[in-house]
Amino acid sequence: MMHFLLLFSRQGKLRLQKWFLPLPERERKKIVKDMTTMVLARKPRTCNFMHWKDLKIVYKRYASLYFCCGLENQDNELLALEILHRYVELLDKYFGNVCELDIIFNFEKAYFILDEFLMGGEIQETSKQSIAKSVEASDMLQETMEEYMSKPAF
Amino acid sequence: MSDVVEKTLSALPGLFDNVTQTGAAKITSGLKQLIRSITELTSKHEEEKLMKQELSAMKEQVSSPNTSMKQMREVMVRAMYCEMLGYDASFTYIHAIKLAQQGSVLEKRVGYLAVSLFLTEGHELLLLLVNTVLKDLQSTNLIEVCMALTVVAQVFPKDMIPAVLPLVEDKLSHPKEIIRRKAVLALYKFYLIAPNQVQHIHAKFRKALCDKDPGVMTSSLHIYLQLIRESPDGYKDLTGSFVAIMKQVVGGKLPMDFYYHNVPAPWLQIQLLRILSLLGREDQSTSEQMYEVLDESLRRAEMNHNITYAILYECVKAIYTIHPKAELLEKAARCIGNFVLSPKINLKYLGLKALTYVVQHDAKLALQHQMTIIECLDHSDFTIKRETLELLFRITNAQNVTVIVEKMLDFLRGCGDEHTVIHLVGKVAELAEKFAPDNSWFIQTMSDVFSIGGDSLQQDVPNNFLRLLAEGSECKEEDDELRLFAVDSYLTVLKGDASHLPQHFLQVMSWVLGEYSHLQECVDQREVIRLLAKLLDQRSVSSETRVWILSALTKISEGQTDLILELAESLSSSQDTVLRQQAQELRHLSRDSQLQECVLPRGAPWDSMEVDSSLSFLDGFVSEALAAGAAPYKPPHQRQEELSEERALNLEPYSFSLPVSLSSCSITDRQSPPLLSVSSGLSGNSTELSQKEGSSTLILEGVRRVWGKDGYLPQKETAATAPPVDEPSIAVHPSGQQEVAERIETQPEPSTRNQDKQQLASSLFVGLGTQSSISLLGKSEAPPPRFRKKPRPHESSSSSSGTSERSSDSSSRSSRTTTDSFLYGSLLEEEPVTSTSTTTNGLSQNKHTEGDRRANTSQILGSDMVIVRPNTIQDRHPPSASSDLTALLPSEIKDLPHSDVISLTSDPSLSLASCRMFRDEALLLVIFICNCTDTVIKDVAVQLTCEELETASLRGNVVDCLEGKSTSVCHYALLMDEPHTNVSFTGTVSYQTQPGHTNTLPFSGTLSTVDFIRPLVVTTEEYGKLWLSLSHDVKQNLKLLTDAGGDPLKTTLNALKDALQLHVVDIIGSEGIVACRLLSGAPCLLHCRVNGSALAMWLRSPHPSLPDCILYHCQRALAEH
Repeated sequence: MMHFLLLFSRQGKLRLQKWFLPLPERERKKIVKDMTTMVLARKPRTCNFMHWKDLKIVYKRYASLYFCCGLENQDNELLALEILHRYVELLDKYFGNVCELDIIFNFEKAYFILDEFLMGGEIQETSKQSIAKSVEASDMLQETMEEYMSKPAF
Repeated sequence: MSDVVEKTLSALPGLFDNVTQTGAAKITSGLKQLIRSITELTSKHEEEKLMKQELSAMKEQVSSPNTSMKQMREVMVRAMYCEMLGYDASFTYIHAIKLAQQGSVLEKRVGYLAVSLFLTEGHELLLLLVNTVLKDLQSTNLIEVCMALTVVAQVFPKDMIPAVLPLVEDKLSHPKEIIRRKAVLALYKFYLIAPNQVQHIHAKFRKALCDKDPGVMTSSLHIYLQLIRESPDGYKDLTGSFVAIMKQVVGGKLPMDFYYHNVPAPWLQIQLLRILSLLGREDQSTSEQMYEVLDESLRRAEMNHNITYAILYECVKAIYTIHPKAELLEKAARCIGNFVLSPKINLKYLGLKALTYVVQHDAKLALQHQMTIIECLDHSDFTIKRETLELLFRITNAQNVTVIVEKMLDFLRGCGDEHTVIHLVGKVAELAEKFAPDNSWFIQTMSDVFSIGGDSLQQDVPNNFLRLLAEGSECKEEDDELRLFAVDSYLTVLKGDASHLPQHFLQVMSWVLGEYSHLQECVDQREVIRLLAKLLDQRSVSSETRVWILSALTKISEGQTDLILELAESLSSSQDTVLRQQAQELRHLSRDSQLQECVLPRGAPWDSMEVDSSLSFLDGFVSEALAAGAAPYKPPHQRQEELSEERALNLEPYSFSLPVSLSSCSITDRQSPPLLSVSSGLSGNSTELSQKEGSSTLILEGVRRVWGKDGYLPQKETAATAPPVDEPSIAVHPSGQQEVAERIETQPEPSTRNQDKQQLASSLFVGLGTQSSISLLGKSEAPPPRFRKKPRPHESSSSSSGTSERSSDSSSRSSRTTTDSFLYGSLLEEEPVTSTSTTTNGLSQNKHTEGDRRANTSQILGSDMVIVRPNTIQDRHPPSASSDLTALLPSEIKDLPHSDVISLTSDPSLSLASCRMFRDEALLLVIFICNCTDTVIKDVAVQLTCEELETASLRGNVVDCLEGKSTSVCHYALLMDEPHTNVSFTGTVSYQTQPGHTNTLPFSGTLSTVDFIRPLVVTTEEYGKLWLSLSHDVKQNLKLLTDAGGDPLKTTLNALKDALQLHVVDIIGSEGIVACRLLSGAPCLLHCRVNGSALAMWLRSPHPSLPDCILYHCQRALAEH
């Protein structure tokens, strides 16, 4: 089971955080700090896995963003890498050639996509199409409501 | 990469222009403005200033009554951003809840997101969310239901689950698969947080497993993986289904939606592989069902993609976990080769992990890849190096230990990560204790461990080390040599600069010097005292360490009065009260040599110290306090539960009544303290006390259990009963080493491999050959734990002498004996038999003489029954002449071991008697109903009630017509789920002597836990593995039986075996391990160790109250003996 998922920039700025287990605020801050320093200190051509306390850390860099997640000991690291990859694919499909700025300015959308993809630290839906469909369904609703609201009331 | 950032930054203004034109962008324009201003800032200080402004503006906006929901949504997004940057926006939390509550769907969505980001599980505001979630769960809008389910799975804490559980459960049968999927995952989350709250829906999980949507089925596997991990035996019947699913998946039967990079449902496959490996573990027949599909998935996963490697990895692990099949193992081994030899570093890493897992079963595999392993050892990647060391740790033996430990220590010296250091240092210590080649190496390595491990070192490392030194081995000379060596090397260390040394190391050194410096004759004791006193002056030394040092000084102070007095004087003004007190004691002792001799006898055997862990000397004090009105003690877990009950919230909505009460009900059920108290673990005399004095019994019981908790026990005691089976050992067969060495030499050596690596390889992999075949058969995940920690560090092969001593009573399962004496005693006291002369089937109306009765009993019970029956009870209660009743038992249960028959009750028409029969899987309570009259009795119906027990089956409880002077037999199969010391049952028999005239005859009786315990036959290895996996433990000192001549341990264990149905697994030296199980399956392991004149008993079980129960019965059995 995944414990957390963090997205941060090369400068160590947090872009997205998802916690699947309840942790006190202080602990969360410590994890974020530790993860950014540890991951950013990794040299090129090292593997994408690390140990942190009793968790396994799997991270991967996509352009200027680092995707980093904490796993339990029995979880499969390669599979986690693919989870990260699938998430990037989903973002890519939604935003169309996603870049860091998309996620900065539309971080709530990134969260919505994540909520359709993972739930309680486990994969909920692996199909790209289904996820896109359910995110779009909510978005569509949003659009129509938007139009409806912006119409002048006679 | 920086150019990418520059490019994107330069595109920034254009991006804004684009978006601001669309309608949606207006809403988040505040956010965009904020982000833009932040990116323009140059310093952290400016950012803080800006954020302060921003937050106060937001505060104003949210508290203004004119802010619309739409604006609120925009504020909420900004608040999320601020929180992500690390600024506190807690004033918006309540508004997030409001937004989720009142907003339209799109505002709700943001509101829920904000809630799940802001409020962690314990947050008090979460309560305000319950109603909203309930409303949305019942909404007809799918999106609202989805959002509610998501937020429930994300943030709901344990005590709020009951409120939503019924609604979430309903969603399992929702027509939309996305809802079902989310509901299953939400239930999975609930299961993780509070497993017992979802127990009643296990049947529905099966439905989810059979769902027509593969996605719902996949989600349900998460729950099954957890369930199976906890009790694989309960789900063996599903193996076929899992295999069938796997076959379909591998065979490509799933819709394209489930493919990931052309691989069919990899997540599903991996989940299934994990489940299969858990099911097939140590179970040949189950394993056989899955060989085929495992083979197929190995074959199919050939594409060169990460995801196929992920599947392969799980596949290999599964193959090595289940019952071995040579052909598959070979394929899996080849597969590992692909990993290890891959140029991709991620795969290499996984290959190392797979090897680490596999070498426990087959060490030869490490030999095949030795060159890769050596390369990885010098790899620049920290993670790879660490993994390699883990692998080496697994293949360590007496021949390669020095090289491997050196490598590990080298790595540790350059390692900055505290957690890794603690982890690996423990392993080094373990290896050193197990395989040390000689004294000097051992002491030196342990010194390295202490200095590298620093103060974060786990406490058991120094504890084990000191225990090892103190307990010694059979050979005193060798022990002293080791001790002497330690003294010498520590003196050298202390003569240097000791200011940087970790506290643990200083404590170890001072203890060793205090205890053993007298062994070294050429060292002046005054010098030792001076060195230790010098430490006291150092500021870096903690006060705990000072206490250790002073204790050491107290031990060696003899004859050095002047130095000691000087020291005591200087400390008597210390600010630390503990130190002051010790200094005072030191002064007294050094003045009175007689007292010193008495308090600190030199060279006294280490384990002769007696600690009364039951604190029985306080019994009087406690009863006085209780008499004076003090509240009886409650064990911590009980207090906790009561506290949580007080705090429990009523989450039931007023409008409708859901079965919420169900879960709260179960909580109160658990609350009621199990019946085990009656002096559970009381020392012998207080048991008697509690029996004699009716009034004080109750109170005393409550009190006692506190002290049993080890928290109250002195430190020494805990050390003395430290885990004996905590150390795995690898059987080393030196005979194989040459063969392996030869094999290494004869291997082809490509010129590229340099000489150094070859040498390293031969030193690392020496001695690996022979163990493989052995452990392959054993198929245990961890190397079999050594039964008893060998005191001698340099003894590499494990307890070979111990095994020969193994007691031969592993077959004791069949012999059933009873502890009828006291049980019957109490039973009969409670329930005086009114009629002493019962007629039985017209056969025996006369009272048996005592001699007759004895003859009868033994005749009935057969050879493997032992009845302990004190005369007193027989005298008081004339035999009920019912022993012949056993002849009436139905033939299928006639041969079972059973207790003798006791009379329950009688009236002029009927008399009732009962007998307990011990089936392997249940207790049969047989009730004999005898018609004492000459007329026919009609419509006899027996009804038995017992809250604590579960009735598995019953037979013969209704008889239409009972002839005069005849007997009918009815039997109940009973199970005990929750251990209780004693359980009483009640019941009634209704019958008609004349038509229309119903009589009832009530009866009652008592059963004990002992009736529900069966021996658990395990091997020592299984025992060791099981031991480590059990969580609840209880420790207690018991009376040791010393019969004429015999080994007291064996005598005691045999007595216990006879009294309770236990299985003595093994007896080695002064320790014995015993196992039993409750009928429901919960095992209880007992570890007994002779400690002076007492038997230190340590019980472990997965069940919290089972050890207490068993301990109580052990105590009673020994007291009665």
